[in-house]
Amino acid sequence: MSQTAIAPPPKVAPAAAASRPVYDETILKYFTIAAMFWGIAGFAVGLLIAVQMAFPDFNIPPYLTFGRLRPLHTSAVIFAFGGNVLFATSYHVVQRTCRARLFSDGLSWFTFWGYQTFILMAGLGYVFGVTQGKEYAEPEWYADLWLTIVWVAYLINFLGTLWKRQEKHIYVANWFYLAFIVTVAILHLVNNVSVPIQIGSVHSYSAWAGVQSALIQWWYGHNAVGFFLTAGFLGIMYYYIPKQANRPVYSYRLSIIHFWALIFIYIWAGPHHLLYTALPDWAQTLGMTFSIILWMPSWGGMINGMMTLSGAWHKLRDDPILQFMIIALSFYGMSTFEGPLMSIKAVNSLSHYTDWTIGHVHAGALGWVAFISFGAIYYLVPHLWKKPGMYSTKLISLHLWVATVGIVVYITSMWVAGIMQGLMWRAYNEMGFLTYSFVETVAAMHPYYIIRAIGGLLFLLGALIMVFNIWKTIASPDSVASETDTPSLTPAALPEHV
Amino acid sequence: MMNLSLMGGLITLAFTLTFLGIALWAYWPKNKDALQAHRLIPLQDEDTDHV
Ligand code: HEM
Ligand code: HEM
Repeated sequence: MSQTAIAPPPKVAPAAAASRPVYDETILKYFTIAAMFWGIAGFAVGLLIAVQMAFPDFNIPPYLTFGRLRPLHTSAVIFAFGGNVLFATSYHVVQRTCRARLFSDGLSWFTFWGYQTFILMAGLGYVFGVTQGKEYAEPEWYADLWLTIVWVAYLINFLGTLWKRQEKHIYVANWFYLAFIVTVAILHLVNNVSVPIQIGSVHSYSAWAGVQSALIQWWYGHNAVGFFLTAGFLGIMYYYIPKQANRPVYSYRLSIIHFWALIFIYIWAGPHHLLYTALPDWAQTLGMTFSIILWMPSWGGMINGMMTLSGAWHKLRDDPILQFMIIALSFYGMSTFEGPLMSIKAVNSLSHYTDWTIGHVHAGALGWVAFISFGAIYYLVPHLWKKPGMYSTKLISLHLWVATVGIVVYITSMWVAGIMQGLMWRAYNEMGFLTYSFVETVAAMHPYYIIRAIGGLLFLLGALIMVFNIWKTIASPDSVASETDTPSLTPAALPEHV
Repeated sequence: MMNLSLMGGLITLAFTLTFLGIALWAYWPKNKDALQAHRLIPLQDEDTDHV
């Protein structure tokens, strides 16, 4: 259909020759729906806490206060939404690129229900005040143990599929997924070493204390960003952008460098969360240096993804799914430029503790993580439910623009608020007294918090449009046969090949 | 006796060399075609039946 499609060499059709694999797609449907469900929940709680910051009256004690809902938001969007997206896409990509069914149906279902159970255990804990108090590692010991079991099952299922593969080479997207699974396991185990305060108690003491505890926590926290919010989603980039564009990734050699550079560098950058603390100075400088180096592989990866479209930029013009993916890469580029900048000690002395950090977080989280996920889900839904395409391309476009405006409103308001906040905190008069009391800086934030909430509302509306579109797509009667020669009706949704 | 900073130095060196080795291998002209061919793996996919 598309004239510019690069014809893959016809001689290789490895799977067809041998026994044809029967892929497990039911499990992918479950994870996809779960991802959308938790996504809406997480965005809605995000909106609620944004409103609470603007209007504290919306705190409803004791269960629905900002302090309890904030971890509910971060866990819901990162682990529940992001996690289910990663399960769905990793299970899809590993099957497709290995030409093998998932290793074990039993393990697949165990990871599905086990992971949803973990989410409920964690989330209910927060609302009832059960937390370790470590950011992004809030779940208490019993939930941590349960997640460990689920995660090992995930690892076995993933490795087992790689083992069974009929394709000789393991495609690069799988390396990113594997790095994500393995690293998250290690981070989780080390940061959560703890003992219950007494037998039968849900609360625990951490094995780590003092500055060691801080360093381990931010080694964990930063690599949660690097391997949960980045590596896994780069796996998505390396599979779904080529599929949606029906073109191979720009450079495989660059993808190898990209992968290993991230692996070697990310791990050392954690101390940029602890600048000007009790952490030894050399460790702070080390963290800052590695953070700045990190800019290069990040952009290398972004360029690799974008250049996949080189020579076929026209595809971008009328395919909103591809637009989601490319805008996601732009935000990835933006936040991985901003991050190294904020790691410079002089800059961090202004940005730390302010809303600038919140702006940076959401440029990465909304712009990169959520947008690349939306792109992948828009690809997956017609593919899994055997439809010619999404119910409405117009609604995809509408989602795209409503959400993009929402993100821009969110992050620009936080930049302005954050820089203003930082400058107000440090301002002092000729006598050496602080110019502003703390409460004055809080009052100054008020309009920006309202603007941010509006941005969040737009983002949530966009996601609701997506849910409607998915609903209509699944409910539409005109399914297509799942045979090889199905013509693709959406632009390049299904690739043609020999 | 091995002290900590010597060990740190040696590990850093080993990591750097490993990474350079990988980079060299990836961009070695002779390896180009074999490596670039892997780009096509996602696109050579048969849309077979599913359960
Ligand atoms: C409708 C969309 C969203 C809204 C309105 C929203 C709002 C918020 C608010 C108000 C906070 C607390 C900020 C503070 O304490 O000053 C927050 C924190 C956070 N959100 Fe969101 N959020 C949204 C979506 C997301 C998504 C999709 C992700 C991740 C994929 C995400 C990740 C985070 C993280 C990691 C934090 C903690 C940041 C930090 O501690 O520095 N958010 N969000
Ligand atoms: C080269 C890449 C990046 C670097 C060097 C970097 C650096 C930083 C720095 C310096 C901070 C502020 C620490 C502080 O003052 O407390 C920060 C915070 C944060 N960044 Fe990034 N960043 C990068 C990319 C990303 C991306 C792509 C995402 C999201 C997908 C992200 C998510 C976060 C989160 C969630 C926080 C808040 C942590 C917290 O305090 O709770 N970062 N990052």
